[in-house]
Amino acid sequence: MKFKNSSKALYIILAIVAFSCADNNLERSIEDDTINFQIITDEEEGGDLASAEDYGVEITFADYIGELPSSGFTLTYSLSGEEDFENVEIDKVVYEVEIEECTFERELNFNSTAKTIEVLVDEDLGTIPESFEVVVVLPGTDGAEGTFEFKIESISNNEQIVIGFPNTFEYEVVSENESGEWVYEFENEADFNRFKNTWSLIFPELGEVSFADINGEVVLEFGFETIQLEIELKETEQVCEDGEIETENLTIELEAEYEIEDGEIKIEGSYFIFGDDDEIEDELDFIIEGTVEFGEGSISLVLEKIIDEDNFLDGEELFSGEDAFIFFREL
Amino acid sequence: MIKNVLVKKRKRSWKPNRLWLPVFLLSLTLPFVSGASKAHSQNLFDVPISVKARDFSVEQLFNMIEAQTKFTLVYSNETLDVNQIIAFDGSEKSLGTVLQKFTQATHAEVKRINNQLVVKVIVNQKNKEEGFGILSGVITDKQVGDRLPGASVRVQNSTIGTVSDLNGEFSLRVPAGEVTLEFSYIGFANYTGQYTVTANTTSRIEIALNTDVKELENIVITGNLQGQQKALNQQKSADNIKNIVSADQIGRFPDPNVAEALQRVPAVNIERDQGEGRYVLVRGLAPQFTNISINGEQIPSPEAGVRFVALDAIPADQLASIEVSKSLTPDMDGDAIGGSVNLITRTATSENLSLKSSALLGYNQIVGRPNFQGSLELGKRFLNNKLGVMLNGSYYESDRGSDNWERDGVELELRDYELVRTRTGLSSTIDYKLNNNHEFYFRSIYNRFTDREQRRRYILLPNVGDSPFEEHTIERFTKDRLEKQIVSSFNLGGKHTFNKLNIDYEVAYSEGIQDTPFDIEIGSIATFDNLAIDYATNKEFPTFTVNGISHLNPENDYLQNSNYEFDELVSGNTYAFDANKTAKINFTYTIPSAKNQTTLKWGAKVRLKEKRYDITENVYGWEGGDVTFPGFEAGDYTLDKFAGGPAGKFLDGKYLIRPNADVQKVIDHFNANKNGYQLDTEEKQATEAVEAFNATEDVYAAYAMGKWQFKKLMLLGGFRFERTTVNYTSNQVFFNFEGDLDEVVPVSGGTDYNFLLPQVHMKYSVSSDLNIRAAVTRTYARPNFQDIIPSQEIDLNSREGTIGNASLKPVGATNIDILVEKYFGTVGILSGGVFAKQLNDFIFNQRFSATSFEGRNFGTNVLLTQARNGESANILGFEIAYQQNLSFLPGALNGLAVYANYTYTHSIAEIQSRSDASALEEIRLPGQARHIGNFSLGYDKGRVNVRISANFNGSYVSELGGNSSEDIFVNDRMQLDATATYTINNKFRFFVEGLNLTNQPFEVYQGIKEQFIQREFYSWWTRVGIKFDL
Repeated sequence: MKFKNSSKALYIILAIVAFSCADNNLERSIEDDTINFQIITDEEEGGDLASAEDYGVEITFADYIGELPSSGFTLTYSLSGEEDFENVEIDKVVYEVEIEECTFERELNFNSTAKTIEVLVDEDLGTIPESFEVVVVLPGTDGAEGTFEFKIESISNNEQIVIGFPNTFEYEVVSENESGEWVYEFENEADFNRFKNTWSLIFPELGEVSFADINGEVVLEFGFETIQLEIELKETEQVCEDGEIETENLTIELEAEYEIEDGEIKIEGSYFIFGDDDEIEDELDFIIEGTVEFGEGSISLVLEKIIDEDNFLDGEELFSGEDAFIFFREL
Repeated sequence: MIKNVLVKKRKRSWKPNRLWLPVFLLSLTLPFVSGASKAHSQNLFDVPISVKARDFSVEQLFNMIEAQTKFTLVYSNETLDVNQIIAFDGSEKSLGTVLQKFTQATHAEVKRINNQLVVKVIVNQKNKEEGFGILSGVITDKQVGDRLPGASVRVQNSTIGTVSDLNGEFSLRVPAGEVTLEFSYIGFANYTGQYTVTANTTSRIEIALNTDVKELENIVITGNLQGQQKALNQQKSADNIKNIVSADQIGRFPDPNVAEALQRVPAVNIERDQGEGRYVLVRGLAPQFTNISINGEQIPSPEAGVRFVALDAIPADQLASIEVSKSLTPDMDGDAIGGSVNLITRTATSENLSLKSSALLGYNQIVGRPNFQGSLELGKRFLNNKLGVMLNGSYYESDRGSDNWERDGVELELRDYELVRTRTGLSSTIDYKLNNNHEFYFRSIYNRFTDREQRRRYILLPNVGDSPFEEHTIERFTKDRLEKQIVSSFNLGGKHTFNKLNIDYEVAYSEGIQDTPFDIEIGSIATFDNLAIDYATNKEFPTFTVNGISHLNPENDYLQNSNYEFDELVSGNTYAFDANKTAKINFTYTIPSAKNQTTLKWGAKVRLKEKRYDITENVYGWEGGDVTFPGFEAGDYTLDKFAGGPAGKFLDGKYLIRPNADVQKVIDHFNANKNGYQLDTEEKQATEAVEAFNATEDVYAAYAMGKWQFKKLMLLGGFRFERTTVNYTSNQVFFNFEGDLDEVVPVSGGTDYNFLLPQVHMKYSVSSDLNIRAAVTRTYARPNFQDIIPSQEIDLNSREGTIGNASLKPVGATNIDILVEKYFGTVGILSGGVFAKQLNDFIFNQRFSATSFEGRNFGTNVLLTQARNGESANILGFEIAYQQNLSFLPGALNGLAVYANYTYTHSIAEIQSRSDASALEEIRLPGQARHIGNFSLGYDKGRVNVRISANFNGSYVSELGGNSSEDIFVNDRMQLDATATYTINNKFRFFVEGLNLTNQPFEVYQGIKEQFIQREFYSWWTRVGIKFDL
């Protein structure tokens, strides 16, 4: 009887042990032990002027951990177009390699008939390139109209790589009046200072240069939903490309997003705040509001308000008023 | 009043009587009054005296004789124990009879010289035999057979004595020959016995004591009173200041885990998690100042980065008792400033199979689901009591939940928790007694705690300043994670008693593992035109409007799941491992003496620790465009497509919630559409690099101590030396100004420190039931690993960072304790004491700005947080405790029992001022509550036992802010519990428990009490069950 009680009790203990192994697990676990490399198009859409002769569609890898694969792959694509872009084709597929501070451009093989691009391991990198550019030939005429679409269809010969998102790029002709480059030439130092006083509120690098440091003009370029302000300095630097050393002027740039509607322009971006000892103290978002008016080969840009995250309440803006600048089309 | 030395006589006026000379001369011819002689007793036997039927100490007896007769007692208290108890049954009507009983009990002789009765202790010729022998044995309760721990065993008329251990066993080195031993135990009648001891041999005896509390004689044995007796006896007999919680006491209160059981101890409060006790704070000091051990050996913490152990992982019913030592002795680990908690597992005690079991069912009102618990204990001794095997298993499963709102600045958060917690405990003890002098044992304990938590949140982020750069947003998060904590310990050792020396040794291996196999959180976000939160009108439950509509309107936009878009999926797992390998040896040498017992003890210990933490965390965003879920057409990735879970009224109707993300649906979508999810690689690298670490810690210790017993005074003192060496590897992570991961730098290093810890204890037994204790000790506490490992996470984009501090010093403390304990015969105690602690180099988190640190130039001002050593901290407090069965009350009231304690603690800590770096600022120690207390009223009559208990924790600082108005406090909390037991027979008991009957919330406020920033409600829960002992 005692033995029977003991053995029954032991069974209960074993049952407790077995019961305790119930883990409350998920019905189905997440399968992310292995994370593949995802190949994507860097942008979903882009564009250029109708007269553009070619356009580079950047293909890249989404953020990854560790080293890229050391074995190549074949990318199959589709390239289709409408109207003037119906028969666009790839001119070349290129990527860059930096060796000892010199940038080299190298090409990848592609087959227009099979619609494939062979991405091989670069000897100097030891891996496949992180990104490459598919250069598509465009009609290049002023009145060109239409769109084209580049899509990554499949990846083969490498199980580590899959297609991610976005995987399709759509090109459109940028037909807005503001597209392209516009130039503002400074008449004199006073004119530069006026420009600098306003724009340096959110363009601190501009605040550090004087009229004597620059080449007398600022270039305003409207891209695909972005705006860029570029000032060329007199100071130059040596740049190595494809083994050749060239001298180029240094530039300072401000890049932001923009939208124009009914003559009103809104520019949004961010800038750094530097302390007295030239150390970065903060980074703030800014908004510029104003009006834009198109003339014959010119843009009149009137800035009415500049605010940032710390200065946006009425009466506390960085700038409030009217400051007009007329830019002329770059020829 | 008797003066106690031969050389002094009582100052009473002496008038010579005309008969004194002949009487005196006659008296010289008379034999002594002793147990054997009756020649002169005729006269003394004619002296009438009235003696009540009760126990008297020798001193009380002498007072009574002097009060009722003309005689004066003369004796030496160096040889006569005046505290010895002698029982009289009321039949003694004459002085002679009384003295006869006295001499029989004390083996003294009384010689009458006129009106003086000279008492002389007889030295038995046989006791003059050379050498010493060992008497060992076991002390049990005659009624129920339970073993009695903490029983006092003393050689009559000497200071040679010992105390029975947890299993009621004792071993005492005594002079060879005839020896009289006195056994005493609160609530039991004293027992005296004579034994013959042969030199250099060990003899075994068994003692069964009778209960002395008449009121208990007819009460069905419930086990409650026996539990109190055991705990109080151990406490009274202890050399240091400690509280004992016995297994039976644990059963008196509805406390399912060790932390909950400890909240009843004076000066102990607990931190809770989801309403369940988790961490223990002794005397107001944070959990890292209390060390936790099982069977005398420290257990590692399953949690990464910290040392303290979450005690909710350990079921209370695995244990025989819990000891809370508030003052340490040199043979204990020195790294405990608040106190040391030792959990003791059970041992088999009888050759009869012991089978105890319980089964409980319960209900949790907030989740509306049942909970259950079962336990089974088997114990038996074999091979003629040589081999003992004890097995214990328990399982506890509980569905719990809480509803909570929190505030962080202007943000409001609503949190809904549902949890399933299980607690599995397995323990075993195998002990083998080779003979009376040598035994070996193997103890093991395995505890597995699992916590499956589902948390659903609404986070309301209003754009308070109406900034064009921000939006009114509401974020929704669902978290589903499983956390397992495993604490296991294996101890193998032996105890040997030689002629003059005792040796005990042990090797142990213990592990603490925290394994989170999955931790998944889904985030969704929606923006609104307007969101306003009102904290002022109703401070207890803030209100809000969305797009101008009240939050209680079911049509409100914030309740439409289609407005929320998927934002991120976080998936990860963690594994924390901490293991200790320990070896120790102790030597105890008793210097035999007929007068003052002296014991010397010394030993050494080595503990090697390995700790590591690994983490995987993946954060995914969705880039794949339109999504398809069952039942929905392809479209935006909105919450309505993957929602599930509870909805409706929240926090008792104060808010409304809708189904949040169903984690399984999102997981299924992820598995089927992996290429649409993109990994945030920088966050993954940063999180995994900065949080993961490896560390080793080696501790080498040695001690020496002595214990001296002078009649009523016990002195214990000694030194302990500990050397600690720590080594670690981790990473430093830096982000650039754009917020991109810049660099991950491996870092390694180490530190070492030594402590010499002198400790002195005193216990003065004013009487058999009144002790005065004092202790002065030096102890220390090691910093947490997460504070010393110099991993850095510097984010230049947000200008914030946290850094470890490799030069962080341990906290040293000087502790002073004074305590008075009065024990009651009806099983109770009234105690009161004061304590003071001075802490050096106490640790706190410091926030400061820097443009560079340790040679790395940030290029900008960065706000850093780092654990640092403060100046000093002082703690002063007092505690009082009262526990008694009121059996002396008349009638039905004699079933009442009271259990109460209160502790007041005051602390001042000095840190670098938060407003002026050149000055010092005084703060209250974080984690220290000024007032903590317990009150419990029980009624125990016949088969029914009912108890209502209240536990109170005063408010305390939980986190220091940038200035004092930003300090975060946990509010006062009083929890009310009740339990009722019906004893069906001596094998079966039925009981009902109710916890948190008043639905007391957990509340946090910032700066002032009216400014709540968190209120968490758990509702009440209950358990019903049966316990049986077979």
